[in-house]
This record gives sequence, structure tokens and C-alpha cells, in this order.
Amino acid sequence: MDDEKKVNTTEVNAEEKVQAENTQQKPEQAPRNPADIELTPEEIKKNLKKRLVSSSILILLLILVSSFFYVHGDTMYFEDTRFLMNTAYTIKTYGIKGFLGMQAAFKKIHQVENLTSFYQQGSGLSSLNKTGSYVYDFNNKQKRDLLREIAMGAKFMYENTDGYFDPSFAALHEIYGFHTPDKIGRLPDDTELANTMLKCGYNHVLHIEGDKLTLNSGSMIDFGGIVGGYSIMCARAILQASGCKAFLIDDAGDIWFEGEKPDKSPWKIAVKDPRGGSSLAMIVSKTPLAISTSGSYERYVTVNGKKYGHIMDPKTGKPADYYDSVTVVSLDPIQSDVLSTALFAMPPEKAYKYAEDKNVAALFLDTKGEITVSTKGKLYFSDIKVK
Amino acid sequence: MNNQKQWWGKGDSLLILGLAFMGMIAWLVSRFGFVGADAFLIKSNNNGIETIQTVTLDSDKTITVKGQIGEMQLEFKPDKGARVASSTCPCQVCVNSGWSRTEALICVPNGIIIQPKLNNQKPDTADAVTR
Repeated sequence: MDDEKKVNTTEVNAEEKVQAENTQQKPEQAPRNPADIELTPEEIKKNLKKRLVSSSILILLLILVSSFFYVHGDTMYFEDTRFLMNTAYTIKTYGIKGFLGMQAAFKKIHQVENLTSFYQQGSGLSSLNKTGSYVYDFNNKQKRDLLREIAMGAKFMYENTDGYFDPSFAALHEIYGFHTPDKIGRLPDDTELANTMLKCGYNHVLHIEGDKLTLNSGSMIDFGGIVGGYSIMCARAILQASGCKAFLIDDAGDIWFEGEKPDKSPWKIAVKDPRGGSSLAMIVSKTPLAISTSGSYERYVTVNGKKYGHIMDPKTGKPADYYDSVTVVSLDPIQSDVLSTALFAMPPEKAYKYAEDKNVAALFLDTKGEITVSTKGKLYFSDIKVK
Repeated sequence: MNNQKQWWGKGDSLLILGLAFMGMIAWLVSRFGFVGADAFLIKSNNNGIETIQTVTLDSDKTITVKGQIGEMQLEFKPDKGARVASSTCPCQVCVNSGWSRTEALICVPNGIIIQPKLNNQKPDTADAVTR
């Protein structure tokens, strides 16, 4: 019995000894605080050497990056295209500031699209067309009622062009089949056309009272002929504010450019020849300009093999077919956008007179292939392709 | 183990950050800047706009891309540029645009952009085309 106790006591002592040893060893095995580490002189030397090498590489990299930006910071070319405003929107710019401005400009264009898109469900314009009224919610993030601004601008241009620019032609587009998903065209009879014409006339169907827009029943508004120019104005303001030195904005052919390119060459814009081949004319300039073209060769419906363009003659209610394309150069993107559409809708004699009277720089390509350039247009258009 | 840990200091972290920054610059340049030869970037709007293919203008090529509503046949020629030979879209604006060397070809219903990247710009090459 005593022996058993002795054995047990020995085992217990042995266990206590192991535990004590473990307890003593633990502090050594625990992760050490780097601050508490006492390094040998060799370790310190090695450590310093490594840090010196990595710091030198980093400094070299920073010098390389800084030098790159110093040399190329304002000359780096950036270009991006986004699906906006129911088409592809391109901005070309130079420098880091231009790159940042470009991102902000695209955001702004997206905001404009959300308010003014004819096709986008839930846009401010869709709401106006659907319900017949629109009141801007100033509790929204934006401080400006962009839709109202565009409506006011369209009113001014409607009056200024004797009604040849008319956003209420959306009702006519409807009966010709432009709004059908498959774009299958149809020709309305005289009665249907006359009834639809009663729903047109911008000043008669859209009423702007304070912050409220009201639309007559059955009428429709499509700001497609002005909103391109308006969105360019918005993007331009942002790019200018960003400190960007040279940029070009291209809303599917509605163009604005300004600033001096790094290679100091002028901006060169080609006017597309709808008949194919090389460009119809060139616009070469070092000073800022807005350029827009209206044509019927891309957006049309086909009925019995004949093409009908989307720009309407307000006097007949039928698609205007006097020209293949009309190009306008201006100092104002809204003006060039609207006037190219309005001149396309006008009969030639009226259009040429309008261009001369209002000092509009315009180039007309009629359906017979004849090219007419207004007096002011001769200052801007060069390399005109003769028949 | 302890010795390995102490070699990882702030300098090493900065070095990695510096390299990552250089990588980002390289990506930005390749994404928005320069391409080696005249080429067209084919961008898709399926999951945000992204470049799905780059086609260099070194020989005649015909390729098929899948858009949001169907397939598009694209044709490339070194002397003419690119054109949409056929598309499943109803409006056919992209097909009607014809050949293009300096302007982007767009098919909104399919969410496809065929965007030129002309680095070796000839003196008569336009910055943009109004149409």
C-alpha cells in the first residue's frame, strides 16, 4: 500500500516537473514582439541593407512614374465610348485632367438621358408623354430642372425656325411606324394624317407654366433633335471645369471640339457622304466649333421598297425628302443640332434663304447630288466633293 | 519564422503599392491609350461596356459577334476599315452606316460598338465624322 502511494507520489512529481518545464518554456515559444527583439549587429546590418535596396527601387519607380507624367501628363490620349442617349457617345481628350473630366461628363450625360429619353421607361419625358404632365421634384439630388430647360430651349428654336424644328412630330413618327420595335413602316391615309397633324405644333400642344409642363391629350414630345446639343453643352461645361486643355465630344455625329491638341494640329472633322466613298467635305479648325448633320440615310422606314426618313415637313406632315443630308457649323452645339434638323425639313428655297438671312454656315446635299454651301459655310467647309 | 517576419516592413508594402500603381497605369494606357497597330476594338454592352475583341487591320477578315438580340457579321479590310455586313437588329442603322475607318459603328439594339483605334494616323485622317 505504502509502495503504491510512493509510486503515485513519484508520478505526480514527475507530472508537476513536466508542467513546470512547459511553463518555463512557453514564454520563449510565444511570438515575439518585433520591438522587443534584440538583433545582432550582423542582423541589423543585413536588415538595413535590404531596406535600402527596396527603398531605392521604390524611389526609382516613383521618379520614373513622375517623369512619365511630367512629360506625358498633358499629352496622354484618352478616348471612350458609352451607350447613352440611345446611341453611342464618344469623348476624346488629353491628359489626366481630361480623363477625370471625361468620367464626370459621362455621368452628367447619363443624368440628362434619365430625364429626356423618349424610349426609356420612367424618364421625365416618358412620364410627360404618358400622363400629360410633369413637375420636377426639387427634392431630387439635382438642383436644376433639365427637362424644363430643354423644353424652354426647344420653344425658342421652334419659334426661331418658323416651326420647322418641332419636337411634337413624335405623333407623326408614331403613325409612320417609327416607334414599332421592328420599324415596319406604313403610310397613313389623308384623314389619319390630318387628324394627327392636329396633335402637332409644339407651342400649341406643350404648355410651360412655372415648374409644370402640360401636354395635350394624344400629343407626344421627342426632344431627340435638341437633346444631343444640350448634352454636349453639359459635357463641355464639365470638361472645361476639369481643367482639360483639349477635347472632342461626339454624340453620334453631333460634334463639339475645343482646345489645342498636343501636336498643335487643327481639329479635322469629316462630313460623311451618304452616297458612300470618301467624305463629302472637311471642317478644319483650331478654334472651338459645333458641327451637326441631319440625314435620312440611317434612320428611316421602308414602305413598298421606298425609304421614308424620320425628319418631317411640318407643312405637309410627310417625311421631308429634299436632301440626303444637311450639315451645320456653329459656335453653339444646340444651334447646330437644331438647325441641321430644321433646314433639312425646309424646302430648298426657304432653307437657302434662311441660311443667308440668319448667317448660318450650312452645307446641303440634295437628293439629286447637288451640293449647296451658304455664304458663311464657305468659311468652314473645305475639300468639298464635287459631283 | 520570426526572422522572416521582421523583413516585411513598411518599405516592402510601399514597394508593392508602387508596383501595383505602375500596373494600374499600364492597364489604363492599354485600356484607353495606345494599341500597337491600326485596329478596331469590339465592345459589348452585355455586362457594362467591355472590350470583347481587338481586330487588327492587317488582312481581310470576317468575324461573327453575339449581341444582345442576335448575331452580327463584321467585315474588316486594311484599305476600307470595318463595316457591319449583317445584323439581326430591326432598324439596320449599323448596316446602313457602310464602311468606316475613323468613326465608330454602333448597333444599339445589339449593344455592340466597333470602335477604331488608329495610332498611325495619316495626315488626312479626321478626328471625327459628322453624319
